[in-house]
Amino acid sequence: MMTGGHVPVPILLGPVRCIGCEPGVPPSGATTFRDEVHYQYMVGGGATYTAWEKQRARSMLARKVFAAVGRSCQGELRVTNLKASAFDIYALVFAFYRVDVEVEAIAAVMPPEACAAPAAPKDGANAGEDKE
Amino acid sequence: MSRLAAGLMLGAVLTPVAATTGCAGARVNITAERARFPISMSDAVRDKSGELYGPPSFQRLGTFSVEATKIGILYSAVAPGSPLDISDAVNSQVTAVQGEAVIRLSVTVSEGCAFLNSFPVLNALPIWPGCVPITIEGEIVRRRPKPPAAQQSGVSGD
Repeated sequence: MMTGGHVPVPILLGPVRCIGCEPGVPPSGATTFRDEVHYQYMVGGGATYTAWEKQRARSMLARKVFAAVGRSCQGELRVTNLKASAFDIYALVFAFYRVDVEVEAIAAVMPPEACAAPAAPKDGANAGEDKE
Repeated sequence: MSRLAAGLMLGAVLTPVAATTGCAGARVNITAERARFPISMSDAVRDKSGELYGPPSFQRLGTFSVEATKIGILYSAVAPGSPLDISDAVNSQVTAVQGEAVIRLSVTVSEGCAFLNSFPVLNALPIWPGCVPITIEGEIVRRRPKPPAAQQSGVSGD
């Protein structure tokens, strides 16, 4: 599962950047974030043995975002690409299965007056709580 | 004649190989180009003044949910109907409960297409469809009314 977790930084999908705002064009940003979650399973067999591997990668998006902009009042991310895929391949005694979700985002700069706004929610300080 | 025999032998070898080889799948981009509400993959959303809101400041109104299965052909290289735009679902579900935003948006790919993607023999064909089942969920929220004291000392950044 790909999610932003409990991080006090908006990670926005779509053209609306705030409550009450009109849809607008996402700003350009210098810093690009990329994250991926996946689950894959691979199995291969021979005459005398069978080997398999199972791998699961959890989302590190919240951690990356918080490390980069979480302590800044200007922190905000705009998702530029969100992609899901599933793929299956087998050949003779080899099989491979993978599902994944990828996200790319850019850090958007907030107007300076936003820094005068009240602080972030208290429960949002936990950057490491990824759901999966 | 020897060519025919060689061809038959080659076919005899390659047919079982082809029958036990294949791949299929699908990929899809998820967008919300026409959404009229903010959609956040985290807990936080700002308001117009730049104030940051998190779960304590929100009233949870319901769950946003979209389920879709997208098809891919040519070994997942081509995805007809892509991207998956969740704008209409966001607009209708948020409006229905008079919400203001979607937070904690999550995207999950389930294993529901494993049978189709790994279907024996036929998935060696490029026209055999693969698929990707997607579940997108979030929480529909609106801001809690601030207590009078907070309203007086509240948004100073306007």
